[in-house]
Amino acid sequence: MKPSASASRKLLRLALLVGALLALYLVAVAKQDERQRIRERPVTLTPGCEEKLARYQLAAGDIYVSPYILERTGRRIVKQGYSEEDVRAIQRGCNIIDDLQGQRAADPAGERWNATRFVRGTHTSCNHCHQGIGDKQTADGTPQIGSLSLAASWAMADMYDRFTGLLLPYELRQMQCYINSSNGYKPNIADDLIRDVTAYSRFLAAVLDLRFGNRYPEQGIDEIPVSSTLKRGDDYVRGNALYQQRCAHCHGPQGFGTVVDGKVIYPAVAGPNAFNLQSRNNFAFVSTILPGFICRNMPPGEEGSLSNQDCRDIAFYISNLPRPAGDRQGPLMALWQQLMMRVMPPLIRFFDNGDSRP
Amino acid sequence: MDENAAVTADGPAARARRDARSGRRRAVMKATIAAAFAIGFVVWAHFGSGRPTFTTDVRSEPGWEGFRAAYGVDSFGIDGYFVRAVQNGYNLVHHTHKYADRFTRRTERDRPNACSDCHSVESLAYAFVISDRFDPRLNKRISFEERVMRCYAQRLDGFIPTIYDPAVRDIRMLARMVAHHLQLGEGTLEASP
Amino acid sequence: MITGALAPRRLGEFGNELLIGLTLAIVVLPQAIAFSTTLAGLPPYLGIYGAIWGVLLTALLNPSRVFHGGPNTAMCAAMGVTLLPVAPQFGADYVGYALTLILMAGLIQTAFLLIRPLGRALDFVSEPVVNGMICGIGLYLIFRSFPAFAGLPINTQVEWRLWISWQTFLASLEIGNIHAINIGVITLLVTVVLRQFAAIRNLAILFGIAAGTLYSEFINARYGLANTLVEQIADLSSMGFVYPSVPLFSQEAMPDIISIIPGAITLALLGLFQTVIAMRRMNRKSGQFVDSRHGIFADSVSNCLLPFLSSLPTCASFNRMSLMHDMKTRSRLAAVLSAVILLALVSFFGDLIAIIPIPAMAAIIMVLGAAMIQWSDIRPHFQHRAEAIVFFGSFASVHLFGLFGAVICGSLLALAYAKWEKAHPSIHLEGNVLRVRGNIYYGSLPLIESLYHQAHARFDELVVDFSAVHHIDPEGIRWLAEISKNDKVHLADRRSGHERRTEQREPHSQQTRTDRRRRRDF
Repeated sequence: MKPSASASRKLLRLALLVGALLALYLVAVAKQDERQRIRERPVTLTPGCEEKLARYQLAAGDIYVSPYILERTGRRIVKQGYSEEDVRAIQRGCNIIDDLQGQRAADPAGERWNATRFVRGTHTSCNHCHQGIGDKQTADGTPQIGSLSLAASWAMADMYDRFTGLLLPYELRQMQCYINSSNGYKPNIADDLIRDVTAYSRFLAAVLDLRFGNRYPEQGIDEIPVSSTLKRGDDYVRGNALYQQRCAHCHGPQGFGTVVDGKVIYPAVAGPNAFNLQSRNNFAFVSTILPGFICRNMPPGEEGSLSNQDCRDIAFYISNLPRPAGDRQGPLMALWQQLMMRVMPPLIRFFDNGDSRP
Repeated sequence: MDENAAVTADGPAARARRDARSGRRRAVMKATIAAAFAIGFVVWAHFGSGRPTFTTDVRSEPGWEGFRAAYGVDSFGIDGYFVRAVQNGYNLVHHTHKYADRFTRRTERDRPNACSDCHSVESLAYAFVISDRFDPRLNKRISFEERVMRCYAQRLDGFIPTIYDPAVRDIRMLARMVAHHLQLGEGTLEASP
Repeated sequence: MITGALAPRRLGEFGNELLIGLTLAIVVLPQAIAFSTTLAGLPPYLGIYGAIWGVLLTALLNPSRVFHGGPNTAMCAAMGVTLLPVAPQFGADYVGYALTLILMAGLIQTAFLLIRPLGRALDFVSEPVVNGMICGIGLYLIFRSFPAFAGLPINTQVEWRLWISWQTFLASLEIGNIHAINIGVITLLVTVVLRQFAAIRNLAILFGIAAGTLYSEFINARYGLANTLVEQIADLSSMGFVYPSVPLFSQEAMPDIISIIPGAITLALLGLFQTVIAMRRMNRKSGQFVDSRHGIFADSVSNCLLPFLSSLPTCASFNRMSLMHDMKTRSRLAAVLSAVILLALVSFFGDLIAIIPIPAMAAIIMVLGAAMIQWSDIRPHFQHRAEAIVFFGSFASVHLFGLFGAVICGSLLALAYAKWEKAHPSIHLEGNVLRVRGNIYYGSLPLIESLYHQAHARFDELVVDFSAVHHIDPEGIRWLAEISKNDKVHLADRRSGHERRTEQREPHSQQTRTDRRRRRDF
């Protein structure tokens, strides 16, 4: 009696295990097919990408000649062309940069390779930092200095990175963005999400005819160290005043951003949807990057109107607003930061009301 | 169990204590001898066995100094993480059977037994700048790394390394360095100037 | 030892040891390779040398009959997690850092050997703590092996937390190499099904790997390895019987070496925990008592030497040791033979081992991870609330705080558990007699005092009976001295159970025993 009962229980357990395995396997096969279909499907571009890629005349063909270089220098540089598949990858990459979370897509999960899976907040999009869809230019079409250009970043990939202590490949650099700037998880480097962005970045590098290993001013940030100010100290209160005056009408008085109809108009610079404590944007971690970004890019339409000291003050202020803990700071810090983000802002709103000085 | 025996009686208890002490001494002695034996073996393995020793240093192969001067490797520094990766890449490309012995069955005597038997470093650089494209023959987009992996598997009669294995990565580093030296741009064709 | 075994009357015994050695070699070979490639991110030769030299050195240094060292899942997982941010896996630098990590762990273990209280502290690591950690690590291993299972590159930053592994898992379903997934699934199915049959349970893994390898060879022949892109163990032909190595130690490596010190502590403790617990279990099973200090000695010396022999660190292996016990090993010869046979296997079948696919190795890690969660080991912990809490705390800490955090948490939990138990003496009031059992120390004093004050207020005369107390700390003594000044309070005669039982026959004054507490004058 007993052995047979235990044998049948064993059999049941085995059947369950095998069944679960096979079910998972079938899910994997179905998901892979779905991915393949998406890879072969024509891409619906966001308005920004539509305009950008049309301007750069992205089309399938044996050769590619950059209209940008032709127009600016008169030189006709013949480059390796793109096939239909490459063009679609570049288009998808552009879409991901412009609208990471698919807020302007008909089928967000499919068209953006489930990017939301790797991002905790609802605000983040690559375009917030890598403006101009990773290719910001001034009015006369020159790449803007310190605009975090994806193309220049590709040309300078694989160099030693002191933050990770690695010769950082372009794919791993993207992963860093997901972890810290988007306060999320890392996609596998074999994920289409990463590969399409690489394809798009490489296309931009072809358009701008950037040479490997050369330093271009649009790469990274035009950082603002203390030595470029009068060294009167970074002032949190001054930063607060400037923030309320120049930034708060878009990013909100407490930095929570502006969302209309589920679409992010201005991203959060604090709170659960912002970059986390281990992001290089965090002033306490790297003090030169966020000021550099603010001075070159903010406020939109009035870029360059803030002095170096203003930018440092504002960056100092912003970075001290509550935000999520970093990936490697552990669960206790994460819990503490969650508490700060949820509890402090309402309290401040309640007690600080009307007390803001002119 | 007579509790007082240990304190009062002299004969058996003292003998037991002596035995215990000498037993302990014997155990310590045995352990020391065993440890000395183990240490002796390790010393012999290093100095007496004549076996090659593992080292993390990148060895300088003949031709590296010439390559270094001709391709301006020093513009990335005399030494450094990137330069070492490039040097390892150089070794891998020219002596694949020696530096990636895990991933190829080719030996000293076979031909081809190195990447350089089929590719020059320039052609690697040109391949790198037009990589990540769709290959109609394979019906998928292929990265430079995957091309290297395919070479290991096919031409070098070997195995597939992981994508970030230095056996793959450092060849990409070398290609990138040469692409910089030749001032190649993304998508530059080998035929066109 | 060997000459003795070769005497004719011992020949049968030697045959049995040989059989055990062969079984162990076959069991340890896939484990060694899988641990080094999939968990530690190291070339397979380190795992194999670990299974040869780690086993030989521990067999030499540890007098326990039933002991099998060699590579270990938890330690390899800890190495992989520690070293991922330091250098790219499988590279020479990575190997160098790994050797340094092992050496540091060995030195830390030596500190546990030399500083007796530290070694004694290991005895406080209770079963629920270790079981919780082992279960947590087992679950982690299952998630952790998904990328390799699906033929995906392992991401280059630490992914310890389970919910991050969950993302990896979802993605690996979608973007994994379908050939790799097929191989993994076949290996997993064959292994799991064959494990149900007691007769071939120990060899199920071998059959699973054989099935996976056969399928992998089939698809490689059909589509070509360059198209399937299935990673394999790869060439072992340059392996000799020993590969001397020197750990990486230079000024330029210092920042990274310093950053892996917590990992070294984790590694050292994980090894010692498992060795001590395994020896404790074996002592109970086999009847031969071997002091766990012998285990600490063998482990620490071995782990200091193994990085000079290109080997993974060693510690006791639960599953291999219970296998040895079940097959009734009688001497350390079995372990020695397993190492020798393994060396022979690798030298003669190197070409066959080379084509074993990595996804099959990942499937093996999954099976071993699942096998670490043993319901029969866990169930006793649920019968006692405090133990259950400690178990869950230890289990959760693996996933919340990572391995280093879990080791620290586990030790704290074990101490807290012991202290908590001691802090709850049984106190009750019988008439005007306050009876205290257990300990009087700073932790339990508040409880005792509160009842004392209640009683003090209620009765004109109060007797405090602490004859069943087994430990009083200085604070407790001060408290007792304080209350003894109170005229209302009488301290009951403090006697041991022995004294109480023999009260009539043995007058108080004739006591000759020297009791430390007795000499104190209240």
